[in-house]
Amino acid sequence: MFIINCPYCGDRDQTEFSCHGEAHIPRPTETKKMTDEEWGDYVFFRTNPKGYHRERWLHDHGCRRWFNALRHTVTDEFVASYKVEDPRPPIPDNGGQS
Amino acid sequence: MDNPVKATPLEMAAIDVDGLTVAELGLVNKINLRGDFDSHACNSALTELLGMECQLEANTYVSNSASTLFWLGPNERLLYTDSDPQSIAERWRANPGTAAVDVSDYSTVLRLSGAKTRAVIASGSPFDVHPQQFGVGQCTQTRFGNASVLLSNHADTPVFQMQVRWSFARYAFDYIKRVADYV
Repeated sequence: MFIINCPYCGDRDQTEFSCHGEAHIPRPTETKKMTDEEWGDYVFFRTNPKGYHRERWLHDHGCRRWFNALRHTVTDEFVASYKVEDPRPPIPDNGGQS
Repeated sequence: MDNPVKATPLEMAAIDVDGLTVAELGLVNKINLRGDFDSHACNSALTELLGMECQLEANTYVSNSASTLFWLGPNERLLYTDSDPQSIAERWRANPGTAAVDVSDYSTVLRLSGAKTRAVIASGSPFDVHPQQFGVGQCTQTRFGNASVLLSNHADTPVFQMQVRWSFARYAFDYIKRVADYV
């Protein structure tokens, strides 16, 4: 069991949340000029790191707000959770090895 | 229908066993209010509309004789009211950047009381309902079994309210009924 910190509600059980993939992927603005390859990158390709990862989370069973979290994909360590409009917390300086 | 009958999903079903009493509250007028509640103007407009102080901390509620106002999110409140919901909704919508939706029939409210109340809720929910964590005046949205619920603490005796979606009402009620025998 993980405890995840919702920026609005505080510490809650992981079963109240769902994860929705990588965060900070800007929606394209010049869509008419994009090539198929650029569309493919936007829709399908993700960084998929082994290490710290910024991702979008939803507090489904709670306040139903979206927020971002910085999580380690191997150790599942949650470094920080932050509101969408907040500055990104720094990645811990340990070479990506928690 | 010529003669529409107002009904609740559980038809006022009740549980009354040793240490636990559960009753469905019946028809409760509920309005979902949206607005920028971080702003002073928005809060004072609501305070004026409801005649009570409406500045809310996260996961708390306030009530007076006619209304109860729950925090649902930073820009979302839920109002139970004995007054005419339509007129309140219209008056709230007159404020800029707001929305009001009558959600009276979206969910039903169960009132749980008795010594086993906390144990029954803890059996289905990951949320900590210990008195030190969840006192009178607090509310939270959480999970009960597989149902999303709005829990609120109304008295130390204890008295809890559980608001559950209409379509999950029977599920939550049956869940409570089963665990009440062995918690």
